[in-house]
Amino acid sequence: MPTQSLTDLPEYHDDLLIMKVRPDAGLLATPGALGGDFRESSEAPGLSTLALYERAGFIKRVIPLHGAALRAAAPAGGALEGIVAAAASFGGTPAPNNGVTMLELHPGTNPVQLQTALGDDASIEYVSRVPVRYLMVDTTSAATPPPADNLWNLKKIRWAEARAAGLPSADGVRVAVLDTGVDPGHPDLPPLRRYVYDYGIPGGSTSDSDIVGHGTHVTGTICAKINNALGINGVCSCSLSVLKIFSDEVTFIPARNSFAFLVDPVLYRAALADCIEQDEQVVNLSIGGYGTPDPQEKQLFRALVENGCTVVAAMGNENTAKPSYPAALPGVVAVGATGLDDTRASFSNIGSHIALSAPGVGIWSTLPTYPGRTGNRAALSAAGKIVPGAPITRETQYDAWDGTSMATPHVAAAAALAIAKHGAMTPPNVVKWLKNASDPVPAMGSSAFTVEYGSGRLNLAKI
Amino acid sequence: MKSIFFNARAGAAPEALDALVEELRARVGVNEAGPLRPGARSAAVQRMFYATLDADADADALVRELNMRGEVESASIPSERHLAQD
Repeated sequence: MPTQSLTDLPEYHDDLLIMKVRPDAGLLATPGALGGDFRESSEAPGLSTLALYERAGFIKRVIPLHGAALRAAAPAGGALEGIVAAAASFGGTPAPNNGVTMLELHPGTNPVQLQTALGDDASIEYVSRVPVRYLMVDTTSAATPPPADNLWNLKKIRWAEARAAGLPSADGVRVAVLDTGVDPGHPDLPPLRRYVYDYGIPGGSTSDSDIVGHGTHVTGTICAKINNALGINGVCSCSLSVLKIFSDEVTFIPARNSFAFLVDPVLYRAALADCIEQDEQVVNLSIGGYGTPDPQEKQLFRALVENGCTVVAAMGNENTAKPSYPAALPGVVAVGATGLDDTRASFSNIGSHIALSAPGVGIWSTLPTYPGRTGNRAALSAAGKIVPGAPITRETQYDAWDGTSMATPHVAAAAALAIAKHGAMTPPNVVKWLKNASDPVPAMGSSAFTVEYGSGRLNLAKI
Repeated sequence: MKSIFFNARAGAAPEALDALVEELRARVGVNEAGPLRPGARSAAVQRMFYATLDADADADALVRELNMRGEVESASIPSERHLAQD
C-alpha cells in the first residue's frame, strides 16, 4: 500500500517553541524581585528550566517577534536576555507581538519538557509548539486528461483502428516494467500479476511507494484499463509485473544542481535476474545512462534475450548521438520519441541502434494517487554542505509527461500485442514485427531507416 | 553506499565461491555480499554476485583484487542508470 500521504506530514516543528511573557511579570522592572537572579529562582521555574536548557546547549537561538526587536538588532546575550528584551517591548507601542519570542532548539532536544516547565511559570502568558503549515495545493484535484478516445498518442499509433480490425488482447503475455514502482491502488490500473520491491537478498529491498510516479506513468501507458470511463486507455491488456529498481534516497546531480532518484544497481540487477527466472516475455526499461555496461550488466541482458524476452528500452533524452544503455546493447529494442507532427522530439537521442519511434511528447498517463516528488532542489545546510532542499513535487492521479521514457511503453505494449497475435516467437522475430509495424514519417524522406526515427513511428494497425 | 558486481568463472567450485563471499562479508567496509539471485536456475545468473560497500570504502581496490582471483571472471563498478524522462 502507498506509504506517503498528507497525514504523514508532521503537525509541529520539532525544534520550535513560541512563548509570550506577561506584561506584569516584572522581569524588566525588578528582576531582583525574582530572587536577585531568576536563573535560579523557584518563583520562576520555567525560566529556571530555560536557563538550564541554555547551559546544557539545547537552545540554538532566541528569535524576538515583538516590534521593538524587529526594528532593532537582536538582543545581545542568551535566552534569558532575549526574554527580558521581550518584556521590555511592553513599554513601547502597543502591539500584538509584544512580549512574544520564538525559541529554536537544537535538533534532538525534546521540546515538550521545556514547554511544560515554561507553561507552569506564572510569568509566562502562554507557550506553545509551532504548527507546521503547508502550501494549500489541492493534491486531490489532479490534472485532468482529455477524453480517453481523444488521446493524441493512441490516435497516432492507430490504436482504435487496430482494435476494430481485430487486434487481440495480450492478456496471456507476461510483461514486466522495471521502474520507480507503481501505485497498485490506482483505479485506472488493472490488478498486477506481481509487484516486486524486495528481492530476497541483503540490501536488496526498498519501499513499495512510487515516490517519483514514473513507474505508474509507464504502467498506465502499457495497460491502463480500457474504456472503463476513467482517465486514459492503455495500449493493451496484459499480464503485468512491476519491479521497483529505485531506492527512496535522492542523489546530488552537480550538472543540474539538484537531487534526483537514480537506479539502485543492486535492485536493477536483481530485477533483471528475476525477469530471467520468471520467464518474462517483454521487459520495459524507460531508463538509460552513458556509462559503458560492465560484463555482468551485458550478460544479464544477453541471458534475458536468450531466454526469449523482448527487451524494450528508451533511447535517451539528451539530443545526442552518444549511445545510452541499456538501449544500445545488442538485442535491445531502442525507442525514440516523436511529437504530434510526427517529427523527432527535440530531446530524443539518435543512433544506428534505434529500432523505431513512438509518441513521447505530452503523453497523458496515470500517476500515483498519493503525493510525491521527482527530486529535490539543492540547499545549503548550516555547515555549508549541499543537502536536499525543497521537493520538486508532481501531480497525482494523471499528468502529461515528455520523454523517450514515455515512448518506450507504447512499443513494449506493441511487442505484447505482436506475441498475442502471432504466437510466441523469438525476440529477433518480435523486433521484425515491430519494425514492420511502423510508418516512415515525412522527415525520413524515401529512407526506410534513419538514425533519428529507426524504421518510423509505431502503427498498431500493421501488427 | 557503493556497490560492485562480479561474475564467477565458469566451472568455479561452489565451495570456493562460498568462501569468497564469506571473506568479503568479513572485510571492513563491506556491508553485504552474496549471489545476485540465490537458487537461480539460469546458469548465467548462478554465476553473478554483488557486494555493497560503505561510502568511503575503496571500491576500485576491491575490484582490482577480485579481478586477480582465479574463481572470478570479471569484477566491476556499475555505470549509473537514470530515468529517461525529459
